[in-house]
Amino acid sequence: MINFIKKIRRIDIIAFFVVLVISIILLRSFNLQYTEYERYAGFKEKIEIKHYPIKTSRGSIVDRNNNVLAESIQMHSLIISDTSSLLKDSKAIEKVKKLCVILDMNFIVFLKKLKKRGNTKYTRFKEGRYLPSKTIEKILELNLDGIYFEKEFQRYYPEGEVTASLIGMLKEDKNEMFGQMGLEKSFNKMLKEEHGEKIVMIDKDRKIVNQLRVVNTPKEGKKLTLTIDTRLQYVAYRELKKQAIKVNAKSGSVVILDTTNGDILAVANYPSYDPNNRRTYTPARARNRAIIDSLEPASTIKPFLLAAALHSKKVKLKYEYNTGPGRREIDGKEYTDTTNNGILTAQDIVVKSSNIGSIMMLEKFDNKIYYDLLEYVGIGEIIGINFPSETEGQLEHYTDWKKLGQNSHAIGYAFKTSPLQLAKAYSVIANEGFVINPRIEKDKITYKNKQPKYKNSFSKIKNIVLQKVIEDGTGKKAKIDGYTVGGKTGTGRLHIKKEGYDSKNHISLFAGIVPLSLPKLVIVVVIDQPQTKTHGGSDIAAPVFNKIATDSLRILNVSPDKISDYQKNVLNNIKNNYTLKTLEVPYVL
Amino acid sequence: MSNFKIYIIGLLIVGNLAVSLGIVWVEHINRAQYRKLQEFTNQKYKLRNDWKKVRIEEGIYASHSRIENKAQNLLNMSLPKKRKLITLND
Repeated sequence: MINFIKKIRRIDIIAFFVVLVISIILLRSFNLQYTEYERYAGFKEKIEIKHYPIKTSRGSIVDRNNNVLAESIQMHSLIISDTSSLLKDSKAIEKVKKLCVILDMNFIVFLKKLKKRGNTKYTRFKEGRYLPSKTIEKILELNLDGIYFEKEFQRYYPEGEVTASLIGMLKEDKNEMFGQMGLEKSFNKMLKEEHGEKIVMIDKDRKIVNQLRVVNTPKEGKKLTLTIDTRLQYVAYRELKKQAIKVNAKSGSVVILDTTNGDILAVANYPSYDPNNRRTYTPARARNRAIIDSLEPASTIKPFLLAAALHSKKVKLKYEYNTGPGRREIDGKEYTDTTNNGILTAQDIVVKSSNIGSIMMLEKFDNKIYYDLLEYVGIGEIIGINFPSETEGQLEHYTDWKKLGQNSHAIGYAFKTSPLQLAKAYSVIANEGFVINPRIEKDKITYKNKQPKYKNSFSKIKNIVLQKVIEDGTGKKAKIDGYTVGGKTGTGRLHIKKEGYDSKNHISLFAGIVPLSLPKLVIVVVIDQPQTKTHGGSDIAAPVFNKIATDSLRILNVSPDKISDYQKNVLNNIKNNYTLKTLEVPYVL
Repeated sequence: MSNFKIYIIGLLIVGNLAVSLGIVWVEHINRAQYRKLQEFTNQKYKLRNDWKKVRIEEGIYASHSRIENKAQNLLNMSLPKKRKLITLND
C-alpha cells in the first residue's frame, strides 16, 4: 500500500481532481438536460424575446415666464394580457370582482367586455386608463394573474378654459396622440415625441430580464415657449367673460399686443371650454375667434382713413365738413350718424365717429392711397403666426371698390379683418409707421421694416386724434387715470349671408393704445351681438378695455405718464400748505 | 503521448471550463447590472414626472384666479379705488 502511495505522482493527483470536476459538471449537465428537462424548459418557454416600446413624453408648452400651459404627465394604464389566467378559478373571479369595485365598474358589464374582445392578447379598457398611484397600489395588493400596467402620458392644461382656444388639445389615433386644434396642432411636429423601441427578454410577469439591443432611441418632444403672459391672459379672459355674460353676448374676443416687439401677450375668447374635460368641448366653444374669424372693422378703421387723407395732402386736420343733418342719401343708399353733428373738422369726424363725414372725406382723395395704407398696415394679409385656419381677412383691390361700394370702405365695411390683424394695424399707429409682425413663439425673429411709411400721418393720428377720441369723443369710458390713452370705438352691423345687414344684431369693438406717450400695449376688444339696448363700442367694449388695460399696466409695471386727478389735488395741497401732515394720503405706491 | 501533450490537453479542458463558467458569470453580472440600470432609469422618470407634477401644482396654487379669490374672500382685500391711488414717479 505504502509502495502504491509512493508510486502516485503529483500529476496523477491533479488528473484525478480534473477528472472528478469534469465528471461532476457532466453529471450536472446530464441532470439538467434529461432528468430535470421539463422544469427548466418550462422556465425558458415563459421567457419571451419581444420588441418593447421605450415611451417618452410630448413637449410641454409654457408662457413667457415659464409657467406651464400644457404638460404631459406619466400615468399607468391597466392592461389585461391573459383573460384565461385572470378568470382561471373561483378565487380569481372573486379578485376580479374586487378589481371592479376599485375601478368603479359593473362586474357583469366588465365580463361582457372581455368576452367581446375574445382572444385579443392585450386588452385595454376606458376605466383602466390613467390610474392614480393609490389605485395601482390597491390593484397590486389583489395579486391578480394576467394583468400588467403600461406607461401612458396624460396631457394636462393647468390654465383650463383661460387658454383653451389658443392651446387647443390632443386627439388619439391608433394609440398615438396628435394635436387636434390650436397650437397643439400647428406645432405638432415640434412637440411630438418619438417613442423608441428595444428588443428585450421578458419573463412571465412581463419583467424585463435582459436587453438585447435598442432598435430606436426615443426622442422627447421639444418645449414650446409662447409670448403669452398668463397673468394678462387671465385678466383678459376674466373681464371678457364678465362683460359677455352681463350683456348676454353671443361671443367675444380680446387681443393684447406688445407694440415694442410684436409679442402677442394674450388672446382670449368667449365662450370657452375646459380642455381637461372633453365633455365641455363643442366646436363653437373651441373656436379662436380672435385669429380665425374675420369681421368688418366698422368705425375702428376711421383713423386709417384719416391717416390716408392726411398723407394725400388733400385733407388737413382742421378742414371742415358739413355732416348735417346726420342722415344723408349717397349713391342711392342712406347713411346715418348717431346724432346731427353739423359742421365737423376732419379730426372731429374720427372723434365723433361720423359716417357721413368719413364718406365725404374719402371722396376728396384717391382710393389707391387709402388701399395702399390699409395694405401697408396688414389688412387682408395673413399674419402667419402658425395657427391652424388663421384668416387672411379680405381686402379687394381698389379698382373693384366702386362695384362693392366705395362708401362702405370709408366706414369700415366691405372688407374684413380679424381682431389680431386689427391689433397689428393699431400697433403701426402706435409705432408711428413701423410695421412689426405679431409673433406667438417667443424669441422667433419677426419682421420689422427699417424705414417707417406714413410717419407724419400716423404721428398726428396717435398724438392728437386718438387721444381726443378718449378725452372728448366716443371712447370716454376707456379713459384710465394716470395714463394717456388713445383708441377708437366701433359698432358694426352683423352681416348675414344672403340676408344682408341685420339691423338688430351688432358687433361692438374697441381698439386702443396705452400709454400713448411711450406705447406699450395695443388692446382690441370685440363683443359679438350684445343683447342690450345700447350696443355701441363706447358702452360695451370700451369699459372692458379700461379694466383690462388698468390691470395689465399694473401687472407689467408700466409707469404712469400722466398726473392723475387725485395726484393733482395732492400736489396742489403740498404747494399750498407745505406740510405733509395735513394731507390725506390713503395709499402711496 | 508525451507528458507535455497531456499537460496541454488538461490545460485546455480546464481553460474551457473556466471560460464557460466565466461566460455564465458575466451573463449573470450583466443581467444584475441591467436590472439596476432599469431601476435607476425608472427612478429618473419618476423624479422627472414628480417635478412636472410639482410645477403643475405650483401653477395651480399660484394662479391669478386663485390668489384673487383668496385675497378677496379670505383676507377681504380689494384693489384701491383709482382716485385714491398716488403714484410716485422717479
